[in-house]
Amino acid sequence: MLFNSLPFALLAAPTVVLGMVLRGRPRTWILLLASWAFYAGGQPKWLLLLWFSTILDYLIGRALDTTPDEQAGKRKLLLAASVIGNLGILFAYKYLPFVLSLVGLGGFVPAAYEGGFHFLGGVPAGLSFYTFQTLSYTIDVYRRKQSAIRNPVEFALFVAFFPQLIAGPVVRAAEFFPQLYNPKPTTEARLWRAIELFAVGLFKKVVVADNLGLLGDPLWSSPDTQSGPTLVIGALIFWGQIYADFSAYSTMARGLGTAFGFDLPRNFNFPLLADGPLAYRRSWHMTMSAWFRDYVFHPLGGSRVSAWRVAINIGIVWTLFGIWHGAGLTFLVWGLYNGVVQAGTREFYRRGYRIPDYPGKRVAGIALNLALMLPSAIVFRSASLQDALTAIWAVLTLRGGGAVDSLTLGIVAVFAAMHVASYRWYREDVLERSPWVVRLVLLTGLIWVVVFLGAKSRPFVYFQF
Amino acid sequence: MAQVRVIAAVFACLVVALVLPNLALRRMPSLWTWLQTADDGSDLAVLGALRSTDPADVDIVVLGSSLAVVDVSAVMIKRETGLSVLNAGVLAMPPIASSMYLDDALSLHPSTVIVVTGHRAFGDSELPSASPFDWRIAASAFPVSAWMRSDVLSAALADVSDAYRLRDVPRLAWDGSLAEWKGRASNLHRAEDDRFAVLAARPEWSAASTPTVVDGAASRAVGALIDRCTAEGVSVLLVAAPVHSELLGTPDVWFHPPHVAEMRRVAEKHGASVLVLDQPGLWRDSDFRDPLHLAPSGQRRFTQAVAAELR
Repeated sequence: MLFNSLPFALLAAPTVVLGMVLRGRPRTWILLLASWAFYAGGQPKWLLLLWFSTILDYLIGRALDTTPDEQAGKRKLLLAASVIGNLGILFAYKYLPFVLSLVGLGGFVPAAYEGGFHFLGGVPAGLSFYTFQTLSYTIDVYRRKQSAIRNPVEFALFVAFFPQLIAGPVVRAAEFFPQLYNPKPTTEARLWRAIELFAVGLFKKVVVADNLGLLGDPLWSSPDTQSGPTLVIGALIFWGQIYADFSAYSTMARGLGTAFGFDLPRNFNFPLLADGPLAYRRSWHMTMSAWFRDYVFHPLGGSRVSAWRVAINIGIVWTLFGIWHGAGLTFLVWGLYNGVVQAGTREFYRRGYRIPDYPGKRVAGIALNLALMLPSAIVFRSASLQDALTAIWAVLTLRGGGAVDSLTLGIVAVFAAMHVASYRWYREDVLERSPWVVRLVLLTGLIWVVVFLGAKSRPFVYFQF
Repeated sequence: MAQVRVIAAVFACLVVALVLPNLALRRMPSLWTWLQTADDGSDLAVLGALRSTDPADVDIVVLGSSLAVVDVSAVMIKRETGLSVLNAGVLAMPPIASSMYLDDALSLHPSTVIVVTGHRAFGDSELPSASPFDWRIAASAFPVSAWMRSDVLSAALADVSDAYRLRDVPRLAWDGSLAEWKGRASNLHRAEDDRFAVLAARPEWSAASTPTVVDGAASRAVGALIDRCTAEGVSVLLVAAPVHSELLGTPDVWFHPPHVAEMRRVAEKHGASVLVLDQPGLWRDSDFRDPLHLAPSGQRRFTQAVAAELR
């Protein structure tokens, strides 16, 4: 179910009201039922998988909690069962067809679903998000950083909480349950903030992301016929689109969370204005980056091992991050490339190199970072590795051809200026701080813009991951 | 209490944002006329055709579903014949829904009413007389379950609300290649983007699963429409719209034979003219933007034939 759809509005509006009025168990039940209804609004059959993951990790969490540390073998087995169970589902639905085709057994893949993304009837929406979220829970219980949740309804809500179920932010149990037990009161100020976050997210989705998609899609429908500079613009448009799309979902999720008394974590902090790869990593998909840091990078030794091992660890993390997006060589290469860039940048600073200050250093840093991210964006957007290489070659050789029309450039410039302006001045509390008249005018204007300048509704890009 | 005040404020903002612009746009027919001057067959021209033409001076009124809106270019007929045309097709409605316009159309005193019909059965055989801007029409045309589908709601709103319809203009302006574009599967575009995948998604559209004969009730409704026009001294031209042969399941067949036969029978009985452009080899795959509607090249050929008939 899309946030930008009528069925969602019909579901969310009464849920928000009931969420404000009710307390305790009834509130938990209402949120859980609404979450399941929200998920079933996509494809009801995937609810079974969500329930399976919920039951698996609830039972394993309880068992881990009650098993003493002396029985280390049993605890490890329980943890392994959770890891295999969750990652096994992920593997079966997202990666098995790809792996089979790589080893020459593609014939076993039903022809209708050939291509990697569709197996066993497609990929359940948000699968990668909620499996990673529940996995973090069992790992935390295993590490004794989190007590097992006794109430199955509360645990089911943790897994299925609809504001962030499909595309994050990935919430840890330690963040979620205290807020479930002691939700912040829905004051007028918080309600205005919730409305603002949701409306701004909606604007980012339907006005910015979807319109950028319409501008960029024609450029990418036949990259082999585009000029090098056009592909550069196309890659920037795409990166802007995917940022706006993904961060829109996170912003709307935070808005909904605020209405229910939760403060969900930020997932983005203006990554397109990062002045270097390290800052970029820290500001893009922050909750998932933190997941990989805590559950993959640190167990591998983190930064406490030799420089070479650290570089390899970074490479492993980014490769996994790449294929987390889905089965495909483009995602694999995307991860590897980012790993090399991150490891190389880290090594640069580790060796004590510093770029001296000079006027415009920050702008130059942003430009350099965008240039470094450009191949990454091209690979991510391309339908195949061959398409990506063709496009990158066209960029490197400045292949000639048609130019991007000035209207497209103008629209991109307007969106870029809005992004910079919001970085400088916007603090997500405009409605909260404003007098009533200003609130009404701003909200009416925003609704108008969303309805009349929004592109036709299309799914969130990250739903497929 | 404070929360109730906030919720009430949001509701008020929604009403103001959605209703006021609509009221304003209803008073701007020139905008729609201007849109219709876009390239023949383009989506902009189609949008303009919905609401354009100064109704004070109309020679021809075109009635029908989206087939009328998309397949017939009022601007081209005007260019070819000098006749002023109001394209009053209704998007996302069964063909007979166009008869909702009948009272309005006849009040304009046209010389001819053109009724464009497709191969599908006329789903609604009633002849309601309310204004097409009336919410009751949308409400009666769509069952409750349909309102849960955002695409249906969009279509319904688009027909009722000029403001909502106008929301498509920037998108269409930026995406000039929309009509010609054929989707391809990639990371972001899946196979269903393909225009013919709609057949899989909408099995009820296929000839095989739909009783596509014009049934008795619908025939009577069309007959009543002709009689009503004739009584007012207005001649009627029934035009069969081609559909893609893939939809009919027979190579190089672009009209559903039972539909055409029934249309001819009704026209003969009630004294209307008929136009069926079923000459072999006339239509090509590239003439269609989707299985039901014509692309610019097809629209040009179709409209030229209508114009020739009018002459």
